[in-house]
Amino acid sequence: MGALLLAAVAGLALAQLALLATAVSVRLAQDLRQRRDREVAAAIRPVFAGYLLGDWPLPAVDPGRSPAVDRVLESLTLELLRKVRGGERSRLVGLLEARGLVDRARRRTRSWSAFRRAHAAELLGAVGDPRLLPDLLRLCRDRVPEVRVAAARAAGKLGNPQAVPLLVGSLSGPRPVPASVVTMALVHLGPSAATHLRPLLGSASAPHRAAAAQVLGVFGDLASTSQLAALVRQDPDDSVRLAAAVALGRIGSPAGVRPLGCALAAGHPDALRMAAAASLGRIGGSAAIRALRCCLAGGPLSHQVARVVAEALAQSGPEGEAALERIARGRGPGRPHAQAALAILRLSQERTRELRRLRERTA
Amino acid sequence: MTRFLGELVIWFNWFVLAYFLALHTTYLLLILAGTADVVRELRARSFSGHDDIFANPLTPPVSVVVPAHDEEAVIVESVRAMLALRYPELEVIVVDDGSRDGTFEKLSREFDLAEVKRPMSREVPTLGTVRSVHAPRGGQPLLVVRKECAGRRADALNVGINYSRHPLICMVDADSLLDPEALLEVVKPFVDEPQRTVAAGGTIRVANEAAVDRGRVVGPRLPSRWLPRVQAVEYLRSFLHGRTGWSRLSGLLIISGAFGVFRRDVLVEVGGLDLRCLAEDAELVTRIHHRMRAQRRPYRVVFLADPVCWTEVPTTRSVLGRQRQRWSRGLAEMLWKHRGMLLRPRYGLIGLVVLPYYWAFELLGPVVELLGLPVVAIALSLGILGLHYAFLFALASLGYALFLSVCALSLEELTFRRYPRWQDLGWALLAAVVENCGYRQLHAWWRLKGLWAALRGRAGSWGAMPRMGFGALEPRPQS
Repeated sequence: MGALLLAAVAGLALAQLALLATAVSVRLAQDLRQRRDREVAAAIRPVFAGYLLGDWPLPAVDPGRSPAVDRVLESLTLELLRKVRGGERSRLVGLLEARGLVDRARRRTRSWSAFRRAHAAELLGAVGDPRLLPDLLRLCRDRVPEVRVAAARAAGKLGNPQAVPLLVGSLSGPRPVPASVVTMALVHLGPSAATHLRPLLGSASAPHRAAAAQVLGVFGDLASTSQLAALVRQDPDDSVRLAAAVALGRIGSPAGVRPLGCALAAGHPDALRMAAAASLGRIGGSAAIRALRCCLAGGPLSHQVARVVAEALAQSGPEGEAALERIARGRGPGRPHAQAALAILRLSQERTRELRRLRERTA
Repeated sequence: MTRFLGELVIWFNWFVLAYFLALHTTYLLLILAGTADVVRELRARSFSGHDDIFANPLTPPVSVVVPAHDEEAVIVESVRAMLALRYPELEVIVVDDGSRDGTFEKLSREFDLAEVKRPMSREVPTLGTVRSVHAPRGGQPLLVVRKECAGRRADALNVGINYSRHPLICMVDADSLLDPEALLEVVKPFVDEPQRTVAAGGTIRVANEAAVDRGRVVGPRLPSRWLPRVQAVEYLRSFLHGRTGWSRLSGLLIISGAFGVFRRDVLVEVGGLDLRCLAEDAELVTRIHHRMRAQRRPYRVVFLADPVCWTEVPTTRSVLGRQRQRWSRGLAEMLWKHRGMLLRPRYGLIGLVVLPYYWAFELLGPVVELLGLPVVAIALSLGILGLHYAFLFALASLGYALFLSVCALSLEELTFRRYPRWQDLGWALLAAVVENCGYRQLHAWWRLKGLWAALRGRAGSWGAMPRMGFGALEPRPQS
């Protein structure tokens, strides 16, 4: 027994030492690598800047092709590619291509390491060459969720509307991509994707319809107003109705007022009523204000719906403000909410007046 | 009789040995289970798409609810930091829970508050009457609610929930500072799986003596005083890696009240926080598990190791003792309240593994630990246990506990490495030794007192915790 205990104590001590030694070695290695990368970055930054400004030709900073230079260049380029456009962007992509980093990334989309595949997807997306779309769409079906997410995001950055059906398709299936990622990728494709998205409003899949509605709303796509209005009125799925109601508010067409007014009526889910109220507030105009006023003054409505309706009226200009004042003076269920929204509105008006006075004084 | 006593002592000694072996092995398994998640989270960080979440017009807005009771030392810094969080749309609701110091006056001066009318919904129950509601003239998304103190943090949080406007609610303590990206990170599971994710929590780390600049922790370091330093290692081992492990196994029972995000509709559905329980944060998560599993609904409660909330921990023994007694008492209340879930297959892993673990090790741990010491002494005095064996047993037990701390520290070094100075690593190792020789026994005593208070059923209260305030100390240069 004693020997067993001794062995356990010795084993534990050795394991602790081994763990500590590993941690310290890794820390040392990381410190060294960071120092080396800093030195390399300091050396190549002037050459890099000169090339980027078009003053110098393609830099040949290391004939030996050290991995540290590739690493630093890749990181610098990726960071800058998010910020620059036009000629500078083309020069950066040219640099990546000349050093073979784009080809390497394409090869790495088939690497065994999920980290490398995701990293490769990120680089290909930053390069923004539409010809790289097949590589990225293949990765959208990867077995590792993080790789799929990185690939979907990168596919959006290529700006190729042909990606719409496949990106939307990646919402479902055995290896799905989260809806938020797909939606953002679709937004990145830009308004040119709207023509590919409109037919999806009639898709049999509710997530597809919801995603299309959300993105068309972000694009402010006036041409899809009637389809979205139909979805708000009669789609069997609540999430689709909600997405369509928000989209109508973003588009801001007066044609959206009628279906949104219907969605505001009692009996609908609170989330939909709140979305409809907020959208009506965005659209504004007499018809929207009338719908909001009737809702707040008449009820029945929950606390949260009443609050959103009152806030929507407050942002609808003088006509909405007058409606709020009438409700605040009355005895209806919307009175406290109208008073609260008016109080915040008054603060904001006071702030605007104060700013105006300040501006006049300084002028 | 003596022989029977001797047999009893021997068996108890074996039981204690087996108990500690089981406890430490569970910790080890949790650390191992969590390691994979921590490494994955860390590697995925570069593709986490925070910019996308920030730019996404569909990212849900968040109401940050901050209960504050006598927090004048930290409140302005804390609220300023929360308003500056990187997030597309948020509102901060400070619930001044009957402060007798200058908490409200400081807020009023700093943010130029004006009293406004704002009706409170009655979606979750509250106790203390709301006195007034204030909004800043400058238009910042801030609401300050003044209420009478009911002696319960849960009451302030429920008031905050009732006033909140957004679909996600983030609960943050007033003495805590979030990393600028922390909210984006902790909301990510809700963005990725909006239907399934119901709650998510981030890591709590010790902020004492850290360099703070405009509400941001810019120079993390281990505190120079032993009590907070030991707590820093304790937080690292049990709160960071323990919870990551439970989260990995879908058995996370605690999301710290200092930093947790919940879906508002779920909070309203379960009736908000329990106004009678002292461990209202753990009770809330357990109640969510209870409801979701009882209704067989798919759901996720997630712990993320990367988003960090920095908090001030007690620096004196008396305050720490009160805090730990309260935790232990709250745990006992919570476990008793949900005893119906225990060993019931309907509640899955929570009922069959997690709750039994909490009963056996977290609740009754101090009883076994403190009872073990006199029994070993009796065994030694009766000559049943040799001094040599007793020493080896103690060494093996200490070695295993220390091994766990070293595992946690090494994992921290290999992954997040939040304490960049070499000397912090050395101090952390020393603190791990101190934690196991002295602090742990003291902690067991406090937990036992808390358990005893719960058994006696006297009304408990939060008690005061004096704050030093952030940025009170000059930042020391980094090595």
